Amino acid sequence: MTPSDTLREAVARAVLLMRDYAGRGVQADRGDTVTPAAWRVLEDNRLLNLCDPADRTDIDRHREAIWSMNAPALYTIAQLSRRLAADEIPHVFIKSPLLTHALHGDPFFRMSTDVDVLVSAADRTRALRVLDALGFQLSAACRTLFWRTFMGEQHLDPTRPDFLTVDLHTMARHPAGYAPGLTRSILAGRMMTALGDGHVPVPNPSDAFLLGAVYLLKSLLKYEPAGSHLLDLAVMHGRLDPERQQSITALAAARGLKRTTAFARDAVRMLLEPEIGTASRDAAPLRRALSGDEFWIRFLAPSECGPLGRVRCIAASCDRPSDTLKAVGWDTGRWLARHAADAGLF
Amino acid sequence: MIPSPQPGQQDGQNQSRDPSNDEYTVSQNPPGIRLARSPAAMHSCFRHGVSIVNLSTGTYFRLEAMGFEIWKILAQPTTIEEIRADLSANCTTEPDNAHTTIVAFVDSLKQAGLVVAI
Repeated sequence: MTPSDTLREAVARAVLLMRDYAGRGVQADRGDTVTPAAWRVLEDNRLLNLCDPADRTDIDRHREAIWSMNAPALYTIAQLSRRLAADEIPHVFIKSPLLTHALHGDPFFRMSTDVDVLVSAADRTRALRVLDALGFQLSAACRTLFWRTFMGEQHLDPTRPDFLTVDLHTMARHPAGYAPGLTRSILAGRMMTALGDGHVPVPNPSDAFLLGAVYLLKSLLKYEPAGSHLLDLAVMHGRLDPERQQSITALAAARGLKRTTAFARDAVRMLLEPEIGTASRDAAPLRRALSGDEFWIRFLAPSECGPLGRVRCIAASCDRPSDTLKAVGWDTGRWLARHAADAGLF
Repeated sequence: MIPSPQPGQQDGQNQSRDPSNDEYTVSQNPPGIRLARSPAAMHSCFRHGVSIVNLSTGTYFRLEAMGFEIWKILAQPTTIEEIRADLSANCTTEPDNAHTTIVAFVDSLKQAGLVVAI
C-alpha cells in the first residue's frame, strides 16, 4: 500500500500545524484553506482545534459537538469522584478532559467519548458498587474474564441521561508487554486538580508522560491515528525541566518502559526540532522501524501503512530482547482470547 | 431584551439548589455588591454564544446575544452598575428598563448557580 501524494501533503500540513501550535515550527499559512484531505487527517487525529476558526466556519460546529460530549464527561467525573472519595476508594482519572485542560487550557479542546477511571484491582468490587448506586450498568460485552483480566478494564453504561459511559480500569500497562508497578505508582503518586467547586485526582506530570508514551505506542499497534497523543507529549515535554526529564528516564526504566518512553521522547523531538534529529540510542530500533516518510504517515494516517510495522513496533518497544518473544506471544494470546470471548467460550 | 438562560437539559434527580444561592437575590443586594462566575460553572465560547454546565447540578445553559456579552463581563468580579455601564458603552441607545432587565437576568444566573456574590 503506497500513500498518495495528497495524503502525504495532508500529513505534512498536519505536522506543520502541530509545530506551529507548539511554537517551534515555521508559522503555518493561516490564510490557506484547509484541504479536505488535511481536514480528514486532522479530524482523525483529533487535532481540528489547531485550525484557525477564521479558516473554516464549521470549526464551531465541531467545537459544539465536543461540548456536547465533554460537558457530561466533566459532570460524571465530578459526581463519581465525590462518591469514590466518600467511600475512601483511591482513584485517578486518566485520558479525560482534565488532561486537555491541564495541557491546553481548555477541557473542550478534544472530544472525550467516555470517562476513564483507574482503581486498584483490590478496590474493583467496591468501585462497581459505587457506580451501581449512581445508576451505571456493566456492559454485557465486558463481563467476560477477557475484559476483566486481560484488558484490565470494563465499560459501564449510564442509565441517567446526564452521565457519560465510564471505563473502569484496574490496570494501566504497556500494550505489548509488562509494565510492573505502573498502576500502583500512578495511584500512589496522584495529585489533585480543580474541577468546578471541588478537586479530583489525576496522574502527576511524570506518570502522565509515561501514560502518554504508552498511548502513543498503543495507537501505533492498533492502527489508530496518534496525533493527539503526540501533541500532548510535545506540550508535556516542553514543560519538563532537565531534572524532571532525568527522573522520568529513571522512572521509565524501573517500570519496564525505558524504550517506549525513549521512543516517545524521540518522536516529540522529531516533531519539535526536526533539524536536530534524534540521539536516543534506546529508541533507535523502533525509530528505524518507522524511518523516513513512513514515520509521520504511520503516526497520523496509520491505515495507509502495511502490517510489517506493527511487528517491528512490538519487537522494538520492549526493554529486554527476551521480552520480544513474550510480547509477540502476549499479543497473539490476546488475539486468541478476544476471539474465544467473542465465541462465548469464557 | 435579555433572554433568561435556557437550560439545555435537566434531570429530576439533580435539581437541588445550592443553598447559598437561595439566601437572597441580586435585586435585594445593596448597590456595589460584586458578582462573579461560580466555580461550579464551566463554559465554552462559540462564535454566537456560550454553553455553560453547572457541575453541581448537571444542568446546561446556552447564552446568546446580550446574555453572552454579560457572561463575558462576568469573567472579572463586577457590579450590576459596571455591567450596565459596560453594555451602554457598546450600545447606541439604552432602553428605559435596562437596569431592571440586567438585574433580573443576573438574578436568574444566580438562581441557576452560574453566578455567585463575592
